[in-house]
Amino acid sequence: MKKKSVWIIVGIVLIIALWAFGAYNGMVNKQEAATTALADVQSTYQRRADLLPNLTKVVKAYAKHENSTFKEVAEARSKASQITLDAGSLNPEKLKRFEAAQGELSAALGKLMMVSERYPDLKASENFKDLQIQLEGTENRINEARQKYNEAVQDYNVTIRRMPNVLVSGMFGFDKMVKFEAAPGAEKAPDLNI
Amino acid sequence: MNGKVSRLFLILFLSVLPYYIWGRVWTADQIPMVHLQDRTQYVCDPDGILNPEVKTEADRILYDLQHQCGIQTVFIIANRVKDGDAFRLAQDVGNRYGVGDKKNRRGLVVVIAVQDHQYFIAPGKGLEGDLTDVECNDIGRACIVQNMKRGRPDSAVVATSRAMYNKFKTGKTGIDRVDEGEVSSWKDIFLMVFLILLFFGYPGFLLVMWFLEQYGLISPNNRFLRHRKKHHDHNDGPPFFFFGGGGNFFDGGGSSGGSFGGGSFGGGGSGGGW
Repeated sequence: MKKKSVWIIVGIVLIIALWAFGAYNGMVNKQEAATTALADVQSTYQRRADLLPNLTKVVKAYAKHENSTFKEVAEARSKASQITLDAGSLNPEKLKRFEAAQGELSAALGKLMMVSERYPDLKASENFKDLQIQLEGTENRINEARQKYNEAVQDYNVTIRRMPNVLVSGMFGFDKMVKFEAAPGAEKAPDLNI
Repeated sequence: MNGKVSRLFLILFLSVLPYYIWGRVWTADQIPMVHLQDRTQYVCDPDGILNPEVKTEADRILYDLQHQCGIQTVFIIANRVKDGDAFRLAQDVGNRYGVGDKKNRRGLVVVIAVQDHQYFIAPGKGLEGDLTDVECNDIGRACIVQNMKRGRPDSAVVATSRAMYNKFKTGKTGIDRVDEGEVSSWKDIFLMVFLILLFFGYPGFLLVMWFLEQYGLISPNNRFLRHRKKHHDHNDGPPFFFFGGGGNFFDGGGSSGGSFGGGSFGGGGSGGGW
């Protein structure tokens, strides 16, 4: 009888252990998917930042005297490049700072595009049109990457908060991740068709 | 009673009338994926906009695009899509069905929403480097916008399909601004002609001789044919390197369903309206 009880206890412990291994691996997979999605978001923002020097160069060729705008763009780009996101230490404040910096860059970019209104030759330039197209594509990629990141984070958060995973997720160090939130007015895509 | 029945019919009629006036609004979940039913089909035309022959022609081109260039395509042409957002539909279809293979992600989704006057050309993540946003824009404007402005959806679909095939097969779409580089030297032209003659000249010559013999225009004892017959005595057909293999996939009958490879889309490409 005693032996039977021992075997039952061993069986229960084994089942719990197997479940814990499976739950841990599942949470790791989801967390990695969210981390990868965050890296994709950063790379799409970086893609936009990388287009700016070319855009500035093309605009400068036609609008040499718009110095304040060029300065604003350079400063915004520099500020945005300094703030990077690390999945391991991501919190709502860091994400807000990152989004604020990117928002300033978007505003500066908008001003740069507005310059073309005053310079018809610039607006008609093939180089400028190509850059416009690339920027539109980049904005689309940013939106898609943010959406996919939010979906991955939601999936991960649901997994670690559901029963019975919630019993062990804290113990294994799986914390809730933060999502991107839409900035006010962000429901409208930036108008790059000037 | 008659009044009630009439009112009921009137309500039913008014509830379906918008559907007939404005047509169904398609989402990624609802668009029938023809490729899953027939692996030789790539053009989804749920509203029957295209001429059947044109659809077959486009399917043939896109079949070649997949099997010769490794690019799996879904081409959607419908009257209306959800929110008039061709970009959204392209991304949702591409990601939901996994157009293109999982490893290389070289899928392509093209959406034309006729009554919404919107289109989008979306390359998969692995294809973005070879089909840039600017190229998508150029192809879209040249093939889709120009034709749709003239009310020619058939031409829009075929021209876009052909431009994509030409781009990946030869490196040139046939559209002036998109093509990169030019044949700028006579040396290049001479080399090209030489290579064509070297690889296709003799087989082409043999094929012409065979046709002439079939129609009795030359004697079977012609010295060129004698030489060929010496080596292929039991072969009464055309030179073996032509028409080899089985039948044509597009010759009626059914083809078994295809599948998508698990590709993914990241928002690249270009689109617009007309």
